Amino acid sequence: MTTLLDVRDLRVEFQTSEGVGSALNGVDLSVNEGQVLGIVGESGSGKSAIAMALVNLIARPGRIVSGSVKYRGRDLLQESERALQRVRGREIGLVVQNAKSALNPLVTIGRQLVNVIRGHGLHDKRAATERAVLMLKKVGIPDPETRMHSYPHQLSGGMAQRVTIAMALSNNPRLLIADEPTSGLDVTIQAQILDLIQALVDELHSATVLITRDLGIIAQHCEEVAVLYAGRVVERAPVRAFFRSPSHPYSETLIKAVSTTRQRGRKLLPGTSPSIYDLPSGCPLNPRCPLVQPICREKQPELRELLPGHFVRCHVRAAGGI
Amino acid sequence: MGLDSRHLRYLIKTRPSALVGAAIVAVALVLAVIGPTIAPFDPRTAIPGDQLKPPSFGHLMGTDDNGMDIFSRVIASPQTDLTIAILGTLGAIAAGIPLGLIAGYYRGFVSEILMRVSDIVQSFPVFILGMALVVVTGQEIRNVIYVVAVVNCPIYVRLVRGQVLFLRERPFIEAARALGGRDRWIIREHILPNAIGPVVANASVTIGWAILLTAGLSFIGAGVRVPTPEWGSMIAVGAKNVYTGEWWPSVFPGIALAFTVLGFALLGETMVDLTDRTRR
Repeated sequence: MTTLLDVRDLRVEFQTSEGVGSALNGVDLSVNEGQVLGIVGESGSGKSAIAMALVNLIARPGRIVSGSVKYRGRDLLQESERALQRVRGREIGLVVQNAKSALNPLVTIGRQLVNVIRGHGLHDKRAATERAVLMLKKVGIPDPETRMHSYPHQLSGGMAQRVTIAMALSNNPRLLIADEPTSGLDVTIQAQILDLIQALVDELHSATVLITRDLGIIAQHCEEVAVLYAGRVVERAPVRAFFRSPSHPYSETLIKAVSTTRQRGRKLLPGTSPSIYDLPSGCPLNPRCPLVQPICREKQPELRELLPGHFVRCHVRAAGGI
Repeated sequence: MGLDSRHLRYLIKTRPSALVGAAIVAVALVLAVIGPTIAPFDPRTAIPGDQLKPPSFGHLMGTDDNGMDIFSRVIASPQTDLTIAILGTLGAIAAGIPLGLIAGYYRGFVSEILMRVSDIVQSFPVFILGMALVVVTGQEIRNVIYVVAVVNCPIYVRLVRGQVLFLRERPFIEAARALGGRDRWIIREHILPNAIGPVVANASVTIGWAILLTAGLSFIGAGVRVPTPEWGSMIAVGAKNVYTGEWWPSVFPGIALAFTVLGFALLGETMVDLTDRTRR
């Protein structure tokens, strides 16, 4: 399997009146062709920053400080804006969270879809329109010809999300980035949308980066998982290995928090995740970690390969402790 | 923003002032088109021997000291005043929209220059600036229109820039960029249509002020001149008679002017209200 996307040491900062916030602190990731990678993390862990940084679209006051995002060998962080525009939407499709606000309220969904298709090669209007209708049909929108004339406010949240998925996939991208594609949707609709994404990427053989805060989604839809904490990947593993034997203390509590909700002895980490403007020194988890050792307060742990394909960023676990 | 009849009825019920404003604006617009044709006397020629006659059935609003029929001139004036005000406002908008888009979308040096120039234009009292510009460029109707456009342009640069700054952070703009949209395309397809509402709403307010500016310039002799029917110059012509008790040459055009400006202001205020996102 060839590597489609290879991210090395990606760092993103936000410069605001509160000071400099480090949203991403050296993220390493890789996605193979056709693979589904799940990125899980809580609010503020840098999830959305990753999605935008992967297509080099960090908006001010944010800034990509360093790192590389190699897509099929080309570093997207070094490409010109024009070259990037040809990559975005054609090679890499992005589905953002909260679809309703991701659509222009004054333009019909048909026109928005046709625009995306025509912007990337298929200039003929009629052909583009046919393709748009086909895409709407593919994402399960009933009566697509009529729906082409609908405005976003006439759609339900689930329908709007289907439209944004159609837009992201309309040019058969090799890579789909879905940033919390189901936040704000009913649970039943969530399942439908995720199954739809899965079916479509299978059909198109696109690789997928699925960003979520829901471990259930990771378990069901991903092959590999990366756990994000305070702008760093703290654990990366094949999904089965991850759920069978999570290695990072943060991952452990994350899984326990879901699977043991009914038990009384459920242990959660004390405190909250750190502010990106005020990260603790050493391992960012050290103030909350049950395994904390003196070294955790002093030194950043490196990402170590514990088992083949299973990486963890923890002093204690890398040393084989507890 | 669908405006069906039910919605319209609701608006009228909740905002009677808008209805009054709309009625006045409608009358002014109709007069701007047909005023000179329905005037009982030629608004541009004096009637020999009929100088300074008080209002009567023959001359509903009397005559001025040149012997011109006030009523005919009052209803013929909107053609002059509204043409200048509307064309000037359109000019301000036509220049303000692209400049505002540029200032909002490409922040940095160009934007700074544009905003500072706007500051300078706006820091002058409108009237003084207008007077100076007309004097420099020559006293023609065309130049009054330019002046109205120039003094009002910064309003639209600011307004559109504000809209762009608000819109450019919206998720759908981000999404359009994430799908490979080019800047110019995003501005035209996504930002402009969403920024245009407040511009249209403010146009009515601007037209009201522009009428006042036109009349004011004409009043001090820097705008439209006699015999062209125009409220401001009519007030000026009649002003010297007010002292001696002949009030009608000034008061009637004054009332017409005040009502017209009020009408545009009332209508404009409601429209600004309806398109203001913060108050919805």
